[in-house]
Amino acid sequence: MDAGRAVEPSQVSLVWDEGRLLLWLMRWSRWRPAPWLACPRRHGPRITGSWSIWTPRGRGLTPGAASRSGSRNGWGIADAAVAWHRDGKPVSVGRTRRAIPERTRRLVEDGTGLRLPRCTAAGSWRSTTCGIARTAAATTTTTSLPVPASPPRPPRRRLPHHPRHRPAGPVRVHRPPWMDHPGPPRDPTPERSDTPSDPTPPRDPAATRSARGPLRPTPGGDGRLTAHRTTHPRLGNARTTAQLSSDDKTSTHPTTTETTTPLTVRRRTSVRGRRSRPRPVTASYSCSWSPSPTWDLRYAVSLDAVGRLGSFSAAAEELGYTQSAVSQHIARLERIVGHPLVIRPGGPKRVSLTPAGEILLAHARAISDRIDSAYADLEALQRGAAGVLRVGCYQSVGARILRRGAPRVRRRRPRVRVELTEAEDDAVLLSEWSRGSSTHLRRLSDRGRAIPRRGNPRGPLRRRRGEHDPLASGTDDLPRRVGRATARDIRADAGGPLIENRLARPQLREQIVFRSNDNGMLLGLAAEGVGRR
Amino acid sequence: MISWLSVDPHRPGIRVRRLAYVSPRVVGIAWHRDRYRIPAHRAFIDLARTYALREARLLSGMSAARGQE
Repeated sequence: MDAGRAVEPSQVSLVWDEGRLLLWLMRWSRWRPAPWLACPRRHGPRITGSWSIWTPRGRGLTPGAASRSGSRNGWGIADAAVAWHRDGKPVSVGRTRRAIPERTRRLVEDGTGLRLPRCTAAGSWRSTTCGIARTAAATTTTTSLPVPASPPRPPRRRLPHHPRHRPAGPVRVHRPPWMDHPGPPRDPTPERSDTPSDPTPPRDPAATRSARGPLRPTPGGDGRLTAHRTTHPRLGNARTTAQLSSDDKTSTHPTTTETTTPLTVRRRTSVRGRRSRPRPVTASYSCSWSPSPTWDLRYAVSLDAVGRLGSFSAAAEELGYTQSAVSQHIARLERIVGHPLVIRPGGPKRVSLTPAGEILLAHARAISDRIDSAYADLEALQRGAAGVLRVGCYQSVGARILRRGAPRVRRRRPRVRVELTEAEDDAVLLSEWSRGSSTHLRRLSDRGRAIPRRGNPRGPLRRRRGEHDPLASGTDDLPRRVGRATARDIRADAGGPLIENRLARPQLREQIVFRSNDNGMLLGLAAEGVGRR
Repeated sequence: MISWLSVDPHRPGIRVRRLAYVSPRVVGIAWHRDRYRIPAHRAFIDLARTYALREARLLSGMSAARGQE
């Protein structure tokens, strides 16, 4: 690597795998393991640390080369960050750090293991990073268990809109049976001895699910399985944590105990059909998975961005995600709704939305706007008397009413900032108003019944009528009742109909000598006598 | 033709004439009632009503003067 050349870094993450650290070369747009990692069980290195390195793009890297390059060029090891574990303790990867891309995490977390490309070894290896960790104890607890902390991964459903995967029949939405699993009970289950003497040993559903596969209850053991399932407070995804802890109270590993069932386990290997010798493992791992096809707010935001920008990469750049993450959001959304949402032409062509995608996009934008409104409200509440007063109005209203009112508001409340949005198009003002970012002075006709209902079943507008409302109690020329405009009425004017049509006098067209949306210009022209006969 | 609110009737060089048999364009004020409102919001609405009422009275006076003519 040239020290003086600016390179775009890719990321190397090391993943713990039962004593082995697998080196992954992660690139922003794609990942490619090094050739010598084609089969890590055979050729992979044994590393005793856990860290990640920033490497130049397009450069294969071995741990030794990384160390040498880092020491030579001043990067790499010195800039290493813990990706998965630090001294055997789990480290929260987080979405902002992205130490391990979501694709990798999903492969590792779903319990099905992963296989590197070009790995043709018979009885290939199986990842156990989602398994249970064992706390090092001086007792006889010597098990090293690969217990999947997540349910088995459902068979991958191929998207019907993909030209290579298009099925002949109708689209079927696969719903694996574990999605309907009721989950673990909320009340803690008292500890029971799960021995053969017990004729009908009660089993904890969560522990049973966690023990599916490699875990087998056998008598005489002293391991304890702790299965725990929580829900993320903000994102709502379920998190399953499984830990195996011994009775050694000096363990430094945090143990989350919501449902505790003592299980005696028999050690299994991480390789199908093979046994591995017991090895002290001091790593624990908690994985997250979605127990049901629930809607995620990120999906709506990603769909909104893809619909606006027409590109997965552009959407990812705007949202701060990786392209694969945005693709996964859309793919999961398609699985949830059961319809293809995006037409992917392939190559540099812009992606477009299907009719179902267009429908869902409208709702997604409403959700996104609602979130923006919530943030704006919280910001206003935090600022107290200060804040931003956003006003959208017509040009004429701004010239006569806001010209006097806005400065007075600023004099009385200097901490308030008044933002004025001026537009002659009703649709523009309606769009801004629907986003909840403005108080609008706009036309209210006496036709129709209601403003479009968005977020409020009673309608967001309150009609004021009677003599108490100065806007409704004007002269005889003004209607006494100010009704509500319908969305159809407002959007019908969005095309900018001609003034003579609006006045229902098409014959005035012959008398019009100049058209402009600038009222000041019209007044100036009139003052100069333009159009005078 | 220009909206009444865009016209300064006292501007020299122009004379304002109202169009007959044209329904007036009513301008109202709308806000999200389920949104949090800062104190300045209410003050601004009161001011807007005050000035709108002035304009309405001015327009009414012009109508009355035109009727007397």
